[in-house]
Amino acid sequence: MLLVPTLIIVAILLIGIGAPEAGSNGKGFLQILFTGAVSTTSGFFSNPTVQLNVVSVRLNPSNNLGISDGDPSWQTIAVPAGGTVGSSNPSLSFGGSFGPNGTAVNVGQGRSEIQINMGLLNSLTIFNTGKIRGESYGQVELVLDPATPGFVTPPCNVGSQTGEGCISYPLVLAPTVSTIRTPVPSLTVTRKTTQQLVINISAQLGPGPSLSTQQVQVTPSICVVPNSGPAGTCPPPLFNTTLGSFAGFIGGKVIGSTSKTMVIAELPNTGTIISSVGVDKNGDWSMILPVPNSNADAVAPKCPSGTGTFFGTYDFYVSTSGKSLDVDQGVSVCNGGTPFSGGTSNSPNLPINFTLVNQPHQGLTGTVFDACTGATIGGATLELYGNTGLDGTRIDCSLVGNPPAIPSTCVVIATASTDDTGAFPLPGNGAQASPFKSIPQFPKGQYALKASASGYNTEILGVVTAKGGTLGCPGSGFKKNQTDCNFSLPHGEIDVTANSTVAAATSPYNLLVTIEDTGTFNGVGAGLVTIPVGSTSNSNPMPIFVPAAPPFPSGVVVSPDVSPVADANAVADADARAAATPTASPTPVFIGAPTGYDVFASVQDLFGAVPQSNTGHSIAVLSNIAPPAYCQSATSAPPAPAALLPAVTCVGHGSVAGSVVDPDQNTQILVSKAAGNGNNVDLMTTTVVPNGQQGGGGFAICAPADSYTVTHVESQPTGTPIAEASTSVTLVGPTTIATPMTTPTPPPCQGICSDFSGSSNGKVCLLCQGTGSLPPL
Amino acid sequence: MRNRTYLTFRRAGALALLALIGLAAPGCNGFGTVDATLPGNTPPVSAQTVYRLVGSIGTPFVATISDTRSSWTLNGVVPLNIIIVNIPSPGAGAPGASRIVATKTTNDSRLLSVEILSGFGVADVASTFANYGTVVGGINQKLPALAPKASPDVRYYVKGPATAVFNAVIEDSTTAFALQSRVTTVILQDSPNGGSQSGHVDGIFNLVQDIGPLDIDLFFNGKLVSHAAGGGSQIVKVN
Repeated sequence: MLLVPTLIIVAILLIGIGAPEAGSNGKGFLQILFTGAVSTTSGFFSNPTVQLNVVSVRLNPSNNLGISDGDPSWQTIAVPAGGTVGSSNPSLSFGGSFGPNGTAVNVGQGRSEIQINMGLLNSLTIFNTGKIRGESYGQVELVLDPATPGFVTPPCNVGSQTGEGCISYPLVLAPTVSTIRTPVPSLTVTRKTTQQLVINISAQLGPGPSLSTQQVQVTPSICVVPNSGPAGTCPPPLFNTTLGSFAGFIGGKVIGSTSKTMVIAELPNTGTIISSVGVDKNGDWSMILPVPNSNADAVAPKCPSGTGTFFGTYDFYVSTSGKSLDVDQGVSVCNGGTPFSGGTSNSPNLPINFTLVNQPHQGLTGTVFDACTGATIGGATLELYGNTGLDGTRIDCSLVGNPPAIPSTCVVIATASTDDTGAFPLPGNGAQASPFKSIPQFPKGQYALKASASGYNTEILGVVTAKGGTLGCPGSGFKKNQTDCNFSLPHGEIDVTANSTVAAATSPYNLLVTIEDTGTFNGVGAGLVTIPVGSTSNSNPMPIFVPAAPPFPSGVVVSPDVSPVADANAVADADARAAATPTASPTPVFIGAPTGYDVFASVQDLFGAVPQSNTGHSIAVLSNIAPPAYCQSATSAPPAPAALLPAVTCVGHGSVAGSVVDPDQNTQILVSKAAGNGNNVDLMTTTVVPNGQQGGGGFAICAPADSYTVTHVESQPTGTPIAEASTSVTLVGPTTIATPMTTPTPPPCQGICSDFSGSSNGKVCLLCQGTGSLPPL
Repeated sequence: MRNRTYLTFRRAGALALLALIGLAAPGCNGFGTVDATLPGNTPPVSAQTVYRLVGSIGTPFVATISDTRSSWTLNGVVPLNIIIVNIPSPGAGAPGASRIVATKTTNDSRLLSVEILSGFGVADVASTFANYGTVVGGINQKLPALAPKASPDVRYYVKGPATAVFNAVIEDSTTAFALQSRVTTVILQDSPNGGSQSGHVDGIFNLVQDIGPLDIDLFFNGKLVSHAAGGGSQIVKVN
């Protein structure tokens, strides 16, 4: 009864205490980057997949590693609300759950965490940027989920004395691990500046499980990789290397910047932001970036001779409220040297300088519709492309070429999504408004705005300054409202029928169907097909939307389904273009369909910790189905194309290990399956352990026990990966564990292809088996 | 040191005030009273389950969510919270089973992660970086199959400044559920009024943090039937 009045009094008293003004150091920004590796002493864990559940990174001024968890000096950089690794927004950790008994509300205790795939830490991964107190720090701590710090998925073993492979085991911290802390050498966060801190995570796995229900011990440790000099406090092989050996340093100056100016780096021709940093009071900025590509693999080496051996390609842009826009497209950032300071460095990379002038800003809104039904489309993605002319007062992203395409000099300067009513943009968060709310309004030229959604043709509109000074899309074809940018996306459909060799007994089969451009791993649509109990197929074909093929209605411009083409004249004609009067682009422009579609379907079999009863089924594939026509459906005349998938059957899990010759941080393994018409359908990819780490060059694949083609590919910043060596493999099938199940301890069985919920009579337990090793790829 | 002491006091005060707001806002089944210290004969309520779709902001996905009675399919983008109210319970106060299958709808290595919160704890996390990758999560008892499509299909889309925290009361003619979540959230109301297509349903929403207006859509069987926007308390209803 006294709780409420007591809290009122305490709240009023505490909030009323005045803030001291003297001695404040303010706050600065610290960006956390991860690198790391997995090590193990157990052969069971060769090339496992390890995911760590990271809650936060926090820092303390004290260098006493035994300092209390509750010490008030901890400064936390949490997983950002809604965001995670790779996100660049300042963090805000805030709860969002109701109390455990429906009456107790403790706002702020809800916890966000994110899984980090250790396999991706062979290249630098950006965790988050936090705003923390400006002072010197003595230590840093990695905070993992105390209950389940992560998961490990090993490949299959050989024999029957260990736990199942290709399923996920929860990790548990070793008894010797109470905290994961390390000293920080000379880190002083300065008010209103952005610094970066690279943390190496080592995950040492304990013995392999003997039962499928066990947990696996992990001993995580961290060390700080200094900006210069060898990482002497880190374990081998990192201890004798420098940050510059696997990271790229870039920086420069922003002329005309304000205290809120941010420099953003993103993957080229995408809106995928890799990093963003602020500028200091002099306009200088500095950034550490991943360099995943090998210089030796590039058609034309990107790094100057004698400098870097790896590079990353990025688009950069700078935009500040009330200021103009400046961009730099397709910059190769090489490794080597040391970070920029004061706008200069001994890095092999030249400084990138930007210039901003005063410019009014406007918002941009609109709605995305289905051209065939008039319904709105939720979850669509909008990407706004922009660049700047020579005098900084115009943008020029008018579509070029025939068929028209977005000029390669333009970069994505803002992205947005539609809400449940198809409207965009969604609001930003409390600290950062949606990028679409503040766009520089240039009196000359036009932006290009691209709308895309899974299963639909992509549409591009030109954005110009309309009457009244607002930004709009007068070429959209929507006559009533030209200040909005409204889209009308066409589509067709493929009607999918899935089959199984055996009727579903106690649970239906749920098959995830994915449709992709033929001969590629570029998905265009997905859907869930259910085969009911007692049936071997779905009685009503499942329509899955895909981009439609031309012809489209008259007056609509259609471009082929290819990546944006380079504008060969973009640089040579810059002077002429700057002086010319821009012409309206022929918008709207639609991206067409590929020559055909591939389809594959897998029973919901994700090798999870608690798989459904119908796991371990083969993957059904079909290749080169003709694309549907504009708005073609099952009730059209003629009807939309049908996909009658081969039957899936229980084969159990299998796995195979292999190695890649001279892998780099961008090497991947692609698994495909023959479709019977001479074509292969791409199914999945996996990463490769980089050289210099335990098991360097190695990889492992988990899949239903079937025949596949395994290909070494080098992924590119954008576009289709380059295929190198490949080989065929047939995965060994599982062994059978004798029944009945023993009690109280069951055998190492996860119920693959069967139902073990209670009864033990007549059940068959499958234990997957490894398939040796593939020849080096 | 003085600065830190001040911040600690100020933070403690703010948290105390927020706790007060939280205590005062939801009726918690005991409607007509807002004194949470006197819940009367309110039956035990299981911990709230939230499916939190996180990862690379803006990553689009399609998700199918199911409990033992109903299932829903929806398109969304990261971040998004999904809450089912009126989940069938196997016993008084016992949490009901539910499951989610979410598939990325982009060809890139952006992260899609599903985080299942039960009360304040993270019960399960699953992630994918793959093109058109899929994540699956479940909580409580095993769900043998996806349930039939919800009928009626009642969804509340709660929009506004991302990270804003709100309280909500979701009601039909006889039962109410109090919950708290963070924008953006989809609330799925399972079988209100015993599955009646004509019964009354409504939602009452209050911002906990006043950092911007809420924007709420109520969809009934796929149609937008009620909309409310603004600060303070907002109500959407149908029938």
